[in-house]
Amino acid sequence: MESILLLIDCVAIIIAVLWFVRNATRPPGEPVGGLLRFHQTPPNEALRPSKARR
Amino acid sequence: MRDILFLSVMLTMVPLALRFPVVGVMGWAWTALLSPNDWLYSYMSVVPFNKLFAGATLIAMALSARQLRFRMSPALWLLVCSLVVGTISAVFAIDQGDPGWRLYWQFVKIITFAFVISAVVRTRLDIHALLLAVALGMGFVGLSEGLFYLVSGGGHKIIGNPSVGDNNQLAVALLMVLPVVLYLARQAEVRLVKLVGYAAAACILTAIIGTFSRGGLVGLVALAGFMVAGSRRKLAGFMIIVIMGLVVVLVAPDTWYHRMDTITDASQDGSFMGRVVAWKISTMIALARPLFGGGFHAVQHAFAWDYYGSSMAMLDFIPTPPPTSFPRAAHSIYFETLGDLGFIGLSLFLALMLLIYRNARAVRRLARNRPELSWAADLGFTLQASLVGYMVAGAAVSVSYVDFFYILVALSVVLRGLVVAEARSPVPAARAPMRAGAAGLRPIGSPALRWGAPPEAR
Repeated sequence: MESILLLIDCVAIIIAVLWFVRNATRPPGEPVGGLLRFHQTPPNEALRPSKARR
Repeated sequence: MRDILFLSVMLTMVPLALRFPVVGVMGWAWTALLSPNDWLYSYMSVVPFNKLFAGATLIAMALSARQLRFRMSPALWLLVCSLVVGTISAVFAIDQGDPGWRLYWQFVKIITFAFVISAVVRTRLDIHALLLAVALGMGFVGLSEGLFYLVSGGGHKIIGNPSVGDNNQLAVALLMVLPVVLYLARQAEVRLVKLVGYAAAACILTAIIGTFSRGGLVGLVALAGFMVAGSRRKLAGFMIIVIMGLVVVLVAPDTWYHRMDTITDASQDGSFMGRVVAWKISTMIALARPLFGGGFHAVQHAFAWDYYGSSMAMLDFIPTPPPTSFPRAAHSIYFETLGDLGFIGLSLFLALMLLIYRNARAVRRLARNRPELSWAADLGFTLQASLVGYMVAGAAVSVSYVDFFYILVALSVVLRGLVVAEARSPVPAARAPMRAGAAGLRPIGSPALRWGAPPEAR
């Protein structure tokens, strides 16, 4: 079981590295993508009308 | 099999680290926290993974020196001062043997790593990648130990990890990584990654309890209290803690209760009183050598233990049994630093903690009312939570010289620099008309609104 977990960890770090490299070389202005992408809030989201207002 | 696995990882990561310094930083953090050599049994067990990544990162930095922007900050100056104090302390140490110097060079490596992080890690993507490596390093240790503990129905004994130390030291390290794993889970956009993150956090939590560390339990309570107090959904957080507490009460074995019960009658507990003796001897070393202390792990040196142990009568206002015949560890990050690096070293150590907290607080304040920086506020809170876990649980464990604490220092510097730069950036288009009129409107995607892109085009 320990070996399986270690395998998963090694695969995960490789995925994380490849994800980083892919996003580090993306064209400027393009949002971060891929499996490990994170939430990105545009600056003007706070001023978007809420559902209640609509 | 394991050796082939790690060879594959190295063959993938090291060449990339030469091109991308952040990949080197990821590998450096991952190997420092996971310590792969302790998991391997064949030819790869002697490979200096950490040094390879450090070397590759430094070469990559030298190759891309023009792109690096390094600016000193108060926290980094404190690191320089700590290094100077550590060096003087090592030169004039009571113990001039190998263990002290080995720890000194580890200290140098850790501080160098903090500087490398602050020079290389520039963007949110970089920070996220580093945190992923931290989670896959130390988080993996917690995940595996927690899983073993669950699968064995509490039969698995968590004795610690060679890279971190015994069960108590592992509990502190896991308390520090838990908020990071929760942060990564909260920020993940892909549902599967989010679920994996929360499941890993649950396993780490189990591992902390499974260490049978009393300091770990106290730290866990403090960490939970801090996270609930700082949460926007306090009632929900409180309910989750109550439910988890009930699960522990129902599931924990009797041996765990017996161990935790000794917290309430510490004066009768031999293990705890042994720690107080070590604290007293550390204090005596610092009083005898107030400026630079007795050198790295001075209290563990047989001569220092006997010599200063015999003169600890002046601290008898705290009753303790006489010192044991063999030296013990300092058993506290504060007393360890005090005995090793003197009052100057302890002041620098405490100032570093204060600066992590202040940097994180400044980030949270700057990010307020800026939705595009909500992640930074969340990360600032995470850094504070990790620090709280370290400060509370570390009060009774010797873990002063751990990579994770200095990673927190560097991350707080990087994060504050990034958020200050963002806060100075032009007003977002949707708010601009209110301040500068309709002429301030810009379409999303214009240079001032590249919220998804890093400050520097990579």
